[in-house]
Amino acid sequence: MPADRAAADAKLVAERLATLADDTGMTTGELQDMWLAETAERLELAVNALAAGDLSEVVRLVHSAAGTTGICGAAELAQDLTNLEHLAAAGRADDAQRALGSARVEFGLLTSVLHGGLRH
Amino acid sequence: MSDAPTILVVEDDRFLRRACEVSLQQRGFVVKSATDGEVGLHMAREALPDLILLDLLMPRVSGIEVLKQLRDDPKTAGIPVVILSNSSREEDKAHASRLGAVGYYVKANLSLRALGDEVSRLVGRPVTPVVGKVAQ
Repeated sequence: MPADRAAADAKLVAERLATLADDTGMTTGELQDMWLAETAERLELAVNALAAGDLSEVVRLVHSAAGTTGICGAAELAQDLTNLEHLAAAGRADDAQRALGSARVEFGLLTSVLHGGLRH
Repeated sequence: MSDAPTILVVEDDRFLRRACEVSLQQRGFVVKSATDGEVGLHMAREALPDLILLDLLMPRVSGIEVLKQLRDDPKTAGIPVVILSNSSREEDKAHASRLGAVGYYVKANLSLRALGDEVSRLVGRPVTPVVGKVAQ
């Protein structure tokens, strides 16, 4: 269930951002905002790249989003983004389209959960 | 002029670039950043940093190509390079190592504290505890 996965990720994100906050002196809120904004932008650009048939750009954008998402602890979403990256790299545009749609839904759910309960 | 070691962060991802910048600045390093391989290569040749943190998959010029060009240039050949990558594949680590990278961190497992400790060790500077908050 996407909502269950989002809830699981949100718990890990809270832990991971707390560690990153310790290591940088930034707040979890600053880190969370930066990550969510960055990922939202990458996913939006990936939609445009996919629509334009530019799969190599999709790979680059999603690869980057997966990396940051992994750093922030959202393991489920990071795995979905990595799978999407592999689909795009294999030239499977239709499958990539579906996977991107799912990833955006999951990212939206995760964003909602995080905005509901992770603010310092 | 500061005599603090200079670290060049070559990373297209804003989040990680900013997190590395802040974390390393907290330790007293001078940090310069580039958002793609081409700019990173140019900055490396101009600034001759004490160490480079290098992403692999970037626009324009890849991290692997940057690493090759750094090693081929006598001016930059001796600069230690630490890779930041999404890939945990052993062949990617081995490839980077063969090209002269002195460290390799998988982003999903990245600890900025451990990375900062490693950077400090590689540039021969004592590890400084992270304290306070750096202004944005």
